[in-house]
Amino acid sequence: MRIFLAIAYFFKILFVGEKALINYAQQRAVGQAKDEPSAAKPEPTVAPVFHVSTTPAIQLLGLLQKEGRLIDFLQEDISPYDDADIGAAMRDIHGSCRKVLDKHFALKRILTELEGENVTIAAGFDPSRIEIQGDISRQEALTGAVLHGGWIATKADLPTVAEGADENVVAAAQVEVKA
Amino acid sequence: MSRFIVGIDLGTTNTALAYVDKASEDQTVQLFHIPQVVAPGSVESLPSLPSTAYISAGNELVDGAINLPWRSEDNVVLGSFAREQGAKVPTRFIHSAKSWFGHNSINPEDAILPANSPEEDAKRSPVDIAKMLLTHLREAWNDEFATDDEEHDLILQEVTLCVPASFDANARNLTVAAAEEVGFTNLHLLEEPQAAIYSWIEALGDNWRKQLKKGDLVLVVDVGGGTSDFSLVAITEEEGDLQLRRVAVGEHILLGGDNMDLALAYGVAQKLKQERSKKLDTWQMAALVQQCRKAKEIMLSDDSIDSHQITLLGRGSSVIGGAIKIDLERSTIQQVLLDGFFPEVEADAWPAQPKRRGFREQGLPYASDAGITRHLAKFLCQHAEAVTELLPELAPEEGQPVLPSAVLFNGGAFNADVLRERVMATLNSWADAADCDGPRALDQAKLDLAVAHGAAYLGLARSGKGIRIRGGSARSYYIGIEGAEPAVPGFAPPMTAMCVVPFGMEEGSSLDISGDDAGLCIYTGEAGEFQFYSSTIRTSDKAGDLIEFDEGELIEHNPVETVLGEGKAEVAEIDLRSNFTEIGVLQLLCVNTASQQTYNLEFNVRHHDDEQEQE
Repeated sequence: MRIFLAIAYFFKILFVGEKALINYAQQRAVGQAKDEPSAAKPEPTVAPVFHVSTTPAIQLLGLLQKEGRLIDFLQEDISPYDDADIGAAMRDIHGSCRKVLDKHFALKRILTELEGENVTIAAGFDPSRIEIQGDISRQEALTGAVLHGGWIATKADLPTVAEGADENVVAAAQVEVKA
Repeated sequence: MSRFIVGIDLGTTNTALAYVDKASEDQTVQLFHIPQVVAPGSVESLPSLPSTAYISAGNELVDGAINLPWRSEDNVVLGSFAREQGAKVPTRFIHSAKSWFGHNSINPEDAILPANSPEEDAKRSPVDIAKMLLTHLREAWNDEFATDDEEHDLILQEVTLCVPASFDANARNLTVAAAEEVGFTNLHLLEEPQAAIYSWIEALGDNWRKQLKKGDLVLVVDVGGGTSDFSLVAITEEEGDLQLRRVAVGEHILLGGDNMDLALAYGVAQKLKQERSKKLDTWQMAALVQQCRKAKEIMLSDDSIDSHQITLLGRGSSVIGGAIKIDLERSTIQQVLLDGFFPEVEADAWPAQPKRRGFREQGLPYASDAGITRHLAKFLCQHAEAVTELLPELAPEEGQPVLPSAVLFNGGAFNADVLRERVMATLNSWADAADCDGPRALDQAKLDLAVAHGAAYLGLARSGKGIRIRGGSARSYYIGIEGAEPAVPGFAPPMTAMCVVPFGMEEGSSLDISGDDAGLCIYTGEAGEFQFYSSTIRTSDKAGDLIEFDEGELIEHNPVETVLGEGKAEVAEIDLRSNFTEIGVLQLLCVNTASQQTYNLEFNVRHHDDEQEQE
């Protein structure tokens, strides 16, 4: 039991952080202290550990595939189909993939001006946030038309994954067993 | 005194919990977001918990897939992920367990679900499922509120549990028994349509008094996922204060929003089969139901769309190659939803009489007539008398329905404006025909979560901080008594029925019924049994009244039985006592007149099966 707890604590620290662990240990202590037998009371158990994926990029592919079949679509040879068929399928794929995006990410425009509007960029801007195209020789503030407002993620929140899962799997193979 | 007041909607398709923290300043009703497994290894808190269970076979899920934040679990998963996994493995998936509570021919404590599944290890009883859902709520709640204070354990709080108004005494008792086994100690039952009214009152605060006046009659039309429930509430005045009295509830109608989506999907699947001889597999069918639900919502909210394309992506990895496209036409929606479930009918159009079937039938006794408006017409007609006793000015002509002055909708199905409008239009046409004013619709903001909210609000009302609806027992109950006339061969002996619980009997009251008039007696030392009936229509019988047996008015339930003492068999004269407890459950007792000893009369749920086996 002790070894098990030690291992559980180790993973807790690894994945949940120390602060959560302290709370967790306190909860356990409280749980044990008042551990009189009572019919209506569930047995105290070690709270399970929830894992953050070690391969979040593959996990994201998996989410887009599960909800929106995006990997199937990208892997499919679409040359034999006419635009109407692709369009019809795309509506569904677009809607479902958008849901994944909305659920796990928060995206904001870097520049809120409409595309085509003029904007002044102060000197010393962050080139990872704003990409200047055209004449960039001057060192003072720059004025130009917005080509693309950019996107920045203000939240990225992927779900936890099961302990026993092979984290390289994008989509499990499916087999139907007939009765 | 518990710190929290809790309302639980243990729905056929979704479970929700709302609460009031008495230690908070404003004491408003809050919704508890219920943590549940949403994908293998991933838990999320959602506004409701789908009332579904998936029983793992042990090898199809990875380790830790269905763990909960508060404990490891490797066998049973409830809620969102159960529903998703269940669509892939239907033989291990249990849903709509509550529908089986009101089912006379099965024992809801027998492990019978999933019905028709060959996998014995996955079988659970409807009562088990209720207990599992309540236990999940308790664990989730305790993880949030009771980790450092045992007093905040959910089972120690004042809990109001909602049940369909149409539940009979047995179904109500089973619900309470399930909750008590989970450990709940401070329970009350509340009818769902009443909860919807409380939620409406809660949202308006004192302003509700401006929207209703003395003499109003409110019809609650509650179409949940699996059941449709009607109630009538009369507004009266006592000493200058408005009073609400629930005057009628409808029969148990197994017909709900889920049936509508399914009906649409089957309509489309049928079309695919006929026009293109394409047969859908179960996975595609599930996808089709989802797509139809979406298409329905889009088309019902915008009149200008005549058809909506549904695309079912290919089953294998070829998404576009295997895709099936079909148009869902407005005419199909019109035909299936509006004309099928909400037909514009005359006020005297009653549902088609169900055919009597054998008790052995495996499935649920779904309503045989899907026309909810026809069920409504019947309901309003049958309860005209009960209403007019209280509100004589609403008396309709003989055989016509009593017409409400206000309508409160409840249930997710009514998120579609068109369906609410159709019900209102139908009621208005009945009002026109009767030459009186049509009803107005009351605004209900939270159609999905109103029941849990209203139940929590009632907790506040109980402590004197709000108005309460008076109602009492929604049915009158009877025991059957065989006549003393000589039996004629080939005919069942003539029966009379004795009222043991009058309609409207208040919670927390008790009635003694003399067995003298009826000459009630029973053999001691062996099981004695009474036929048991109820009625939602006979509202004026008093306890002890003997009435002529009328099949149209009385619904037969499983019999009640008792064993009187252990001594040798001799005839004992008995009296009866009925208790309608504070919790809201019915207890029947036999009193041996000679010894004054009392014995419980229990519901015998196995009766019908036994009978069948003997044949």
